[in-house]
This record gives sequence, C-alpha cells and structure tokens, in this order.
Amino acid sequence: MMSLKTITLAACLLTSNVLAGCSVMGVQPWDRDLLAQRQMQIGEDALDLATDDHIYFSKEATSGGRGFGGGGCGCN
Amino acid sequence: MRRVLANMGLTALLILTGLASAQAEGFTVATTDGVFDSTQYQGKVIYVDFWASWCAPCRKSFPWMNEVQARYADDGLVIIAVNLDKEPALVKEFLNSTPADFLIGLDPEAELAEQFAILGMPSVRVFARDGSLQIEHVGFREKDKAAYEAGIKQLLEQP
Amino acid sequence: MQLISDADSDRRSSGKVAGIASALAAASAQLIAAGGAQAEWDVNTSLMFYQEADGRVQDLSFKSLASTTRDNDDEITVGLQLDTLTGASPTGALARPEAQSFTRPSGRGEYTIAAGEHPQDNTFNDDRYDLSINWLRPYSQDLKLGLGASVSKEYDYLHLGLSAQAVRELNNKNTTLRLAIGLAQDENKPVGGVPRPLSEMQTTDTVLDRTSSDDKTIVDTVLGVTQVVSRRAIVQINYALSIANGYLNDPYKFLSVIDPVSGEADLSTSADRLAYVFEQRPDSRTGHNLYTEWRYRLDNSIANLSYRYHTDDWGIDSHTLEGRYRFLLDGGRYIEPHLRYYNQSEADFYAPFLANTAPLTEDASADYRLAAFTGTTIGAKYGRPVGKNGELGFRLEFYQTRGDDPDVPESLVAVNSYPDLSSVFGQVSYRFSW
Repeated sequence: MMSLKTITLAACLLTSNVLAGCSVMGVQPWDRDLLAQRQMQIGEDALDLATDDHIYFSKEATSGGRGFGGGGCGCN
Repeated sequence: MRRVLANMGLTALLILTGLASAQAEGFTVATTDGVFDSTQYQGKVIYVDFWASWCAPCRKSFPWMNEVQARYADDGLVIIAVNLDKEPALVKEFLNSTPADFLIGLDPEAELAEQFAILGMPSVRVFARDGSLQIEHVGFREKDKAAYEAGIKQLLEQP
Repeated sequence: MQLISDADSDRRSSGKVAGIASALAAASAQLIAAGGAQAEWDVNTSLMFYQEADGRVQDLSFKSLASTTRDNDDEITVGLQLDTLTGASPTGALARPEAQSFTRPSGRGEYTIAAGEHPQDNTFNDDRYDLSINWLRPYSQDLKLGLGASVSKEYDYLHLGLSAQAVRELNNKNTTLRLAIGLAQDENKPVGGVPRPLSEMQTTDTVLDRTSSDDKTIVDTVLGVTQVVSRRAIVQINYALSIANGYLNDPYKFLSVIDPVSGEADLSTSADRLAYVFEQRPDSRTGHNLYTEWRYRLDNSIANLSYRYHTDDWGIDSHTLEGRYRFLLDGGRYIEPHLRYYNQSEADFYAPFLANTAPLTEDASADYRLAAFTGTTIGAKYGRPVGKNGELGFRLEFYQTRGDDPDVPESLVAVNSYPDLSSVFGQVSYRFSW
C-alpha cells in the first residue's frame, strides 16, 4: 500500500518524464488528417465503453481509469 | 575613405531593404486553375488562409470568407484559401458541399505552409497593400469574426 | 438491487431525488434548446440487452449521449441512461446436499433453495435512471476548464456526483494533459434496511437488527496524457486514484456458518434454521488504476489496444487487456472484432464461508465477485453510415468468467463450484447530427 507522499512523487516523476519525452514527439498541423477522423480519437466510442463499463462494474471487483479525448485534428 | 563609407552605407541600405522586401517579395502557390503569384496583386490586401477538408473550424470559416470577399472585393481585398489535403478527392468533395467564392490554392506537399511556418489549423496571414505581413492568427472562432473583419478593414484603409 | 415490495419509506427520498433530477433534466433541455443559431448536436443512442445463462441476470438498457459546441466554443455533453434489470444473483451462502431456506431481505417471507442448488436470491427487479451533464470551456488557445454533475437512482440506491477538470495542450496541440477530480455521495437504502454487519439472519416475524440506510463518499482523481506519436498513431496514459469511505458492504450478501472440517452447518441462535451471517467489508478502500490506450491507423484498418492495471488496499489486483481491430470497408462501413481478457485476484477478506471456530469480528465476504477469476469477452461490431451524417451500429459480445472452485470442506465440494458466468449482450446504436 503506497503512501500519499510516494504516490505524489511517482506521479510527478512520471509526468515530468512523459512530458520531456512528449516534447520531441508529434506532427505538423497539416499532418493531422488521419488523426482528425472520428474513429481515431480516443473516447469516440464513449457510448459503447459506457455500456461495457456498466456491465463489468456489476460483475467485477475493479473498474475505472478510462480515457478522455485529446489528439484529433488539433484545430483552433 | 569617403568612397568606402559610401559603399558601406549603400551595402547596409541594400541589406536593410533586402530584409524588408523578403517579406514584400511575395510568394507563389498552385491554384485550382493555374498559379497564384502575389507580386501580380501589388496594391491589394491579400488574405491567405490555410485549411483542410478534415478541419471543422475551417468549414465554419468558409461562409464568413465568402461574405468578406464579396463585401470588400471592390476595395481591393483578395482572399486565397490554401488547401493542405493530401488527397485531391477530399478537396473536391468539400468544395461541392461548402462552396468558395474566392481563390483556392493547392499545397499538398505543405511547401507554402512550411515557408510561412504555420502552427495550427486554420492559419491566416494577411499582407498589406505594400506586400508586408501585418496580421497572423491561428484558429477560427465565431465570437472573433468582428475582430477579424476590423483587422482587414484597417489594412484596406491604408494606401 | 432490491425486491419487489411496498415503497412507503422511499417516497420522501424519491421526492428529493426527483427534484434534483428534474433540475438536471431542465438544465439539459434548456441547453439543448438554446444552443445558438448554428448549434449542432452530435447524438449517439443505443439499446442494449444483456442475458446471463442459467436464468440469472437480464438487463435492458437505453442510453443516449448528446454533445455540442456552442458559438462561444463551450463544449457541452448531456447523458441519459435507463435500465431495467431482473434476475437472480448468488447470495454468498454455500450450496448444501440438503434444501435450505432464507429470509427475504424485506423480512417478510422466505424462499427455499433445493438440495445441491447454489443459493441465489431470485426476485430482483431494478429500474435505474442516470443523468449526467458536462460543461467544458476554453479559457485560452491551450487551456480548457470544466464542471460536471451526475445523478443516478435505483429503487434502493442513490448516487450524486460533482466533477471538475482542466485540459491543457502543449507542443502545438500534440500533447494534451488532463486533470480531473470527482466527488460522489452515494446512499444505500436496501429493502428491509441495512443489516448490522456480521449479524445473524433472522427468521420472519422477528425484529430485524437493521438501520434504514447508510452512505458512502468517493473521491476520484485522474491525471492523464494524450500524445500524438506520428501521423498514424496516438497514445494515452492515465493514472487514477480512488478513495471510498463509508458503507461499502453489499446488504444482500451473507455467509454460511459451518464446521470447517466436517462441513456440518451450524444452527442459528434461535435453533430454528441454519446459521447465516451478513457480510462485512472494510469501511474504506483506496485503489489505483494505470490505463494506457494505443490507436494506430493503417491504410484500410484501425488497431486499438488498451491495458489497465488496478491495485488496492483490499488486496485486489487486476489486469484488463483489450484489443479491437476495425476493418474499414467501402461506403463507410466497418467490421470490428473485439477481444477482452480480464484477471483479478481475490480480496483479502474473501471467504467462501465462516468457520464456526473463528471469532465473528473480522471482515468477511463470500461474494463471488471478490474471488479470484478470469473473464474473457469475444465480440464484434458492424457499422454502416445512414443518411447524411448518421451511423448505425450492431454489436454482439460473449462474456465468460471462470474462477477456481472455493476451498470448502470435503463434504461440500461436490455441490460448490465457482459460479462461472456465461453471458451474451447485444447492442444497436444510432448516431446522428441534429
């Protein structure tokens, strides 16, 4: 069982490392054509996922942690 | 000595003018029926918009650009919307459902986009009558339409 | 879950909930109506049926999610869900070579389970509705802040939730950071009241050892990163912390009290039936989830892979691995097979029964959902465009769980295998712009 202090430290380290790595990845704005498609966006299947989560929540002892948006066309 | 100084002065002047005119030099881009050469539009205000068929705010900006082009064409406004799609079929499809009453540029290799160093979609660059770059912004927002139009009007009022 | 019975005591809380729910519904309706001249709603609706084998649970569910972006760039999402659930669920008592009888949760009447049959409470009927609303507003080119609220109500359960989130974009919108926090207050008001944990099940006509309801509070935090990796690939990683406090028991579950060697059942204190004791779980639970999802765009297909690891202070660790592969066909149609693998370890306090030699003071639950088991799902979805902007989807999935048979005395092994689940669910969904 991790203490709150350990969790916070781990989260900060993870975030800073991930962010440092993130700054070297990515594409130009005009290369977002494929990612702009709805089917490539994380969370576009929210309805299906909500249906599944509802079933698994009542049959399994663990749940949650799922995704949100981000990605996409990067417009505006 | 005076000659050397004069030469240096002349060189400096040339360099400065060169820097200034690098922006005023103009740009070219292919269009749906030929080539657009900005130097042929000296004295006009050129509004360059970078767009793509998959960009939702771009779709929303077209009706507004149609309005603005019609309203200020006689005052010397030229709008050219440069497309960055990789597939020409998508461009045709888009223009069929969202008509454009302004010039359409085609830049599938993103050469002009890179030259202008655009940072997001859509991107706008507006050049004054003397060819200098005066306005740049990223994104199209309904609530900023009035501000966009005011910017264009201001450039049109300049000689 | 609850039994069909009178609803007197529920009218008061129903009134309060009806008030909150209608406020939420009114706000949603107002938003939908006042969208603005060019408001376009992206609506996704579905009807789902779920059926378990062996006459266990059956569920019919209607769900709708609608979202829009207003003229001032606010993003609003409204969700509605209606469920009707019927069927039977294992209660936690052991099957025995002889018939057993149990008191209904309401305290009125009994039901009998035949010899060798797994005890299930088979008169559940539950209708549930769920409303949620989320509002996200941009405060600059790269920052959005939002608030959300949700309410859900079933006959014996009420949930109220509030949430807040911040979304920050970096690296030319190639990186998206999100921090969300949620607070939920749930009230459990089971039929017949909340039994005192570890108290004995009484026969009918005795005064039940109960309180009318009990609450729990849950705080959730999620920190996530979405990153564009290339023109074809995107990845997301989320860390979620969840802390629950309060009444975490299932009021309808109990354990058999037996001799751990012979398997002989104890008699209740009143000696008129066998002894069963209501379960007790810890009054707090802290859990961590680490989730990652990858999407990759190939020329004519899309691959989607996700993994979630969960660990908590109840001793439950779980792994969930899911893969979807979407074949893009012409005309905008697609076929997407789906596989899910789930594995969980048992809770520290999971116990198939209570030994009559052990003291009656520690947490114990025989709920089969807290045991170690593996779940496998296999399914597929077919989608096709309809009209100008619509899409029709059909999904069919088969979900099976397998667990180790509980560790019970020799004499009871034959009739006590793990209640493996075998279920099918299907969904028809319709997505359109309005």
